[in-house]
Amino acid sequence: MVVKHLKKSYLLITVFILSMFILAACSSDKESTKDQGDDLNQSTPQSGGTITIAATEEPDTLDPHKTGMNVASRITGLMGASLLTNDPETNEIKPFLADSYTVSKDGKTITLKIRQGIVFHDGTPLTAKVYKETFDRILNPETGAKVAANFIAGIKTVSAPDDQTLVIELVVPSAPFLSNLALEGYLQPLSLTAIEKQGDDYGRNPVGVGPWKFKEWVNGQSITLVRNEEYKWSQSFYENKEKAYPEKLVYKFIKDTQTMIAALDSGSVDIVNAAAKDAQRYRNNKKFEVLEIDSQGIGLFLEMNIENKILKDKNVRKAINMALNKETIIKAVLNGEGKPANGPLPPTIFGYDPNVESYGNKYNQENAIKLLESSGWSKNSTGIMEKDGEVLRFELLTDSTHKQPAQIVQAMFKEIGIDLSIQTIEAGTLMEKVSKGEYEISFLKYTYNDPDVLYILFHSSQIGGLNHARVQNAKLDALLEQGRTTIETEERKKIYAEAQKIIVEEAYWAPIYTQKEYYIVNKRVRGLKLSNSNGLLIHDSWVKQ
Amino acid sequence: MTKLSEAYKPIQARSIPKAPLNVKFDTLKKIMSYKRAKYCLAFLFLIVIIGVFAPILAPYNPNKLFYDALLQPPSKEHLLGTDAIGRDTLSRLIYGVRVTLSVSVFALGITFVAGTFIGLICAYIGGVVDNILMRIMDILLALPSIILALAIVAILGPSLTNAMLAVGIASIPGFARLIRGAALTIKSSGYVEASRSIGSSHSWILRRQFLPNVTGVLIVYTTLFIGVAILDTAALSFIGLGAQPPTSEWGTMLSEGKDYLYEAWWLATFPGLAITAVVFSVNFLGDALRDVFDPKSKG
Repeated sequence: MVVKHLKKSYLLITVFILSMFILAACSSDKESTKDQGDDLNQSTPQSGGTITIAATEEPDTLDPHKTGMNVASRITGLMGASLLTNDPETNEIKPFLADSYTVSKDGKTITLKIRQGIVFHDGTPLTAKVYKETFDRILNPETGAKVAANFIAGIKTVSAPDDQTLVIELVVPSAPFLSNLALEGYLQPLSLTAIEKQGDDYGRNPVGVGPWKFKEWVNGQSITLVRNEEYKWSQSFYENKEKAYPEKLVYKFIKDTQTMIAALDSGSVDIVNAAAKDAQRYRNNKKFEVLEIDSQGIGLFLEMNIENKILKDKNVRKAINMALNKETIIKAVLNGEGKPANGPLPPTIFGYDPNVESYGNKYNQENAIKLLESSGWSKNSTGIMEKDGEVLRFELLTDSTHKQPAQIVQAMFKEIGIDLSIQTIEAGTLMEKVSKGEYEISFLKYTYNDPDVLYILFHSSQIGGLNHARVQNAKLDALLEQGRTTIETEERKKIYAEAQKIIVEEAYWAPIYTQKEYYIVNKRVRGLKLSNSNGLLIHDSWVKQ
Repeated sequence: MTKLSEAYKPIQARSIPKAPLNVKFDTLKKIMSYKRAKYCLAFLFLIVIIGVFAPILAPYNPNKLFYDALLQPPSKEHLLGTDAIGRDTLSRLIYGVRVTLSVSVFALGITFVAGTFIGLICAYIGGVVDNILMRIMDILLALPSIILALAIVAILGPSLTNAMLAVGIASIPGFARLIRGAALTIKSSGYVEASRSIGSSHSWILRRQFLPNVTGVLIVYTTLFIGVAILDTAALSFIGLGAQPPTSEWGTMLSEGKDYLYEAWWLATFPGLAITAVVFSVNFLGDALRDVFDPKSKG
């Protein structure tokens, strides 16, 4: 009897649990259909709410002149604005804080009319004089503005004849200059009153003219911005001409990507910059939207220190180029969602020479080995190349984000007889060491909007900066200088085509792939767009309450 | 006759059967009477065998990349699947045994030698030496051993050898304190006093009277420490401070696998299980040994 009772109760419990499951399934079904219904009915933005964005890195400072970090430029960009802007659809330069601009015939004088009625978060009005002071601060060596100064290199004088007019005189005409003026992060106007008031603390209490105001920075956790209620000078391509819709914007710092994805699942962050493999998984998820765009830059390349006594040999560098099976690396690292890069520029940047596909150094193990042999190397009993008793061995210095490609490259090197050891160090230390030339081989990636990036990466004046390969090539230097001062587009294209050819033929780098940029967005955040020049376009987005 | 003269010799000169540290056969028998310990011992023995014969047992070279088999789930070709860059998980796991075993033995060696030495010296000499050494140990004990290990690796730089060193050094304080405690009770015992009074040398007393009497504690703690050493080294490797790629270390494998928890469950699961199984067995064995060496318990 008892047994029977027990059996009955078990049965009851089982039925109960099952029905719960069914109920749950039904209710979630209902919810999702309701969601879709909402999608159709509601397209008018709602005000209020919070958008939370996850970032792997935390800025060093929010003073745009003192940082060199991508994440810092993105966050300060939200708090600031720029003279000009890039139209995300056409990639054309459009006015933003400047109502209009004119460039003199010789290309050396740029006159901008500053829009009236714009005020900083601290109440200071934006005038041409403020902009002049901002540029002066960047150019003042005491500020230590490394990256920001690079963007306005070549300025002779900046003057403000009246409150509305800003005149910039350049030493030589500069093609990338106008598009640099569209950098909301690095080249935004700063309130000198705020800087004087805050002193050294300015980097933690920034003041700008942008749609977002700084509120709070919790070390190691988050930066919170609140909307600027006064803001009504958004870029022309935004539908929203007024203040932002959400009340708050939070940047949460989560180092580990899997934790980040888990945070996205749990709803504690709304927007995540994800890897290809994760994006793929979310494509069919109803709760999330995946935004993707071809990244403007090279997603991964091997840089080689050509001052190294072995890497000085062009044959060795070429052999390294030929040892890399880029398709395989793309398959393993990017889930196949990338394209092999053959030159230093991606197709998304102006000036990219399509011929690089034919003359680029292709994967060819036999030729790689032949090249090494022609330089006097020969395989020893362990299969590693040797010359005069010295083995062909390099150290690959990298940070933890490139662990996977590092191990694949290591295996591919071994196949042509190069012994590669991997040393993983912290990202900051890595950058420091590589800039100083204290390395043999390393990984790097870049994003940029102009072929002038080649100047930053290969011009001899940039040794100690981003010219990690320590290239000193007079011919290349001349071309790169010419490239920045040539305004005529066809002419400019030709110059960069030649520069690309030299870089590929000298094999200063081993370009590996270009990739896409993926953002996974919780669907409660609507109206978000992505552009390859501006990144996330937030001003039209709103939170569904 | 000979027996009689032996008795009149000073104690150091007597021929006493050597090797007091030998685990007696009946001890082993006693251990075997613990069912759990028996299985654990057998399992660990199997693991050692796997480590020794890794090149024969592993189906592939652990660092060979199968470019056409990336992230493959377990299959006939790759029994435990492959990782994101096409390496055979089973082969890496098998080779990982070697790394794990050598790590634990190396770290153990450091802790064992240094810890025992410091502990015995402190207990035997006492006074100022004891005070100074033990205060240093106290300071180090205030930090969790993994934090101490982290600091050591940060100074020496990340590598497997440094991780072993760090784990070994970081565990010395705990070990030393334990041995000192055990040795202090021996110090005040009658037979030590007797030896002293007949003029036995310090080294003789330490070797012949202290050491054999702390053997029980030593063996138990050592066994338990193997588990800690494996776990700590795996933890260091997990955060990238231990074994450097492409070394197939379990902690590194676990760390690499965690990025693929959603796509490839087998990558983190098997190294995780391996670590758990070995550490569990070692700990169970340690527990059994404690019972065996505990004079109060009847085996």
